[in-house]
Amino acid sequence: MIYKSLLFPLLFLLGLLDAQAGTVTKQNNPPVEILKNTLALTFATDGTLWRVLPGSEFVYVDYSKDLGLSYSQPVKVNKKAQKISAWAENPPAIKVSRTGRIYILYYADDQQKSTSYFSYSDDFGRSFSASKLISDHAATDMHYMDKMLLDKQGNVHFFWHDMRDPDSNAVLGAGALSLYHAKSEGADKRALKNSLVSHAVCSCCRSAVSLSPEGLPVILMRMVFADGARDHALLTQNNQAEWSVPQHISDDHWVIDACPEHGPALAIDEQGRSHLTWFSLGNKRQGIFYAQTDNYGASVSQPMAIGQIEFLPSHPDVISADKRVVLAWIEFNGRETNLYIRQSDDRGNTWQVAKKVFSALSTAGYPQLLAYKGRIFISWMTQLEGHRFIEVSK
Amino acid sequence: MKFVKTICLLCVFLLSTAHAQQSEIKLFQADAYQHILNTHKGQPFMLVIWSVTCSACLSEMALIQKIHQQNLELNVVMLSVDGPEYFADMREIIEKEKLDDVEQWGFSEDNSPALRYSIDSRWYGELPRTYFFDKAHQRKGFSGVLTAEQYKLHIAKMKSKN
Repeated sequence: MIYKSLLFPLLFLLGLLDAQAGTVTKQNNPPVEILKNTLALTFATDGTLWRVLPGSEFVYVDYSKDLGLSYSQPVKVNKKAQKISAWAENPPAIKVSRTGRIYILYYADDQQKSTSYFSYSDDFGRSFSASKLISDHAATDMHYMDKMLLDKQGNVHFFWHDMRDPDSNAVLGAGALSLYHAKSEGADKRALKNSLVSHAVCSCCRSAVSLSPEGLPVILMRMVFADGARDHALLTQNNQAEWSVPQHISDDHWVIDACPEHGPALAIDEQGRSHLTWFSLGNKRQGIFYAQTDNYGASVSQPMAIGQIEFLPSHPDVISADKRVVLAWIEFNGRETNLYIRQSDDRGNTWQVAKKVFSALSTAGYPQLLAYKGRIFISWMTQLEGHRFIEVSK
Repeated sequence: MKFVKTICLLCVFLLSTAHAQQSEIKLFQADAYQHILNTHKGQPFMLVIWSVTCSACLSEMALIQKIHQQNLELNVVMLSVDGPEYFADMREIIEKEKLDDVEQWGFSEDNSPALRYSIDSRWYGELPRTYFFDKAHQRKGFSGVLTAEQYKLHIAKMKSKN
């Protein structure tokens, strides 16, 4: 106990010293000490750039009207202090509907660690609704790694990893669980109706979701197949809200009972081509890869390796805007983490060479790509260098 | 100002170290891997790397405890990639799994790529990750949960090599 009584005043004093001395090196840092570099961003239809900033007890939201050069004063989302939870594979999320409603997804330790909550603002971020649980088993079963998606009708969808069905997943090893879905329609204040999407989902890898041109959700996720392979599959929902049989999109054959902590990314262009990127250490290929499919996985292009394998390329993101497709990923060379991009001007048929965009000497978050009216941007948060946000030039 | 900051940092370090010793979780910093090799010089040992958020890791804790109890002469070192903010959670798991008499380490910075690199430049961070070191510290590394038979085989190989 003595160490605590001395340690906390010292840490406070160090904080004060840093606040005075650190204004130059931390000029990009958000006004909140961000948990594990996990801030997230989105564009509103009017071009306002919104950020969600997870701190230790509160989640905040701020915005920029000048593409990230300056930000507004942050506003608290949760009214009462909570033990906020976030890590790179389990970040918060923010979306803004066409009508301007701002949706926030975040996590806090409650009866279960990293319980999922959502909140929204109807007054342009000046105030937020009381935080609401997403899972109807929140008290008894751990659930996390949610993805949030807005459809064309303005409904918000949540997809998350859920441990409520142990008997259905036990045979696949310790690291398998279920993916659940809920949809909130308009201003509906009732509890979210939870429904099962699939069992046999890898517990440690976040899934990726996107909307088809028809406005229906599409999911790319790492599954655990009966032979123990942790490979990726694509699922689509039809007009009757039924989910397709998972379409195996790669034959990597990574048979392992482990936590890769390395989820995929997905972008679907206006003509319905799905752009896929993922990580594997399978028998057939190792590293990160890109492929595309025009029929949601019925046939898939030959995977293209990305990055320099000797520097462990990892955590790719992908986005499309018109015919452009951009990939982003990070590599670690033993001293610094480097962020690279590659882009295509013809829907992923041909690719420019990789280009280094940023470097960091400190712990890094995952890169996040954003699109707004045909322009593409990249966001990256690292511990010392702060939050960097730039447009990806053609 | 710089002097005050240095003194403060030193005090925080000493207090953190004292706390780590008290809870028997050592801080794994940049030179810790070499320190572990030096400590076990000339001896075979097993390094088990895990995380409190890795369900696959937690599923094999009971087996590691059993192997430890059946081979008390075997040096086992456990290392969590979780940072100091998770040490309380680590301690809870270590005590629950009755692994508190095993040498325990935790990353000084949560899931740091630099610390992972200091152990193995080819390791992406998938967990659990287990290394078997022979007397000469030639090592074999494996990702994923191992079966009792696989542990038995690799421990036997590790012990048999000079």
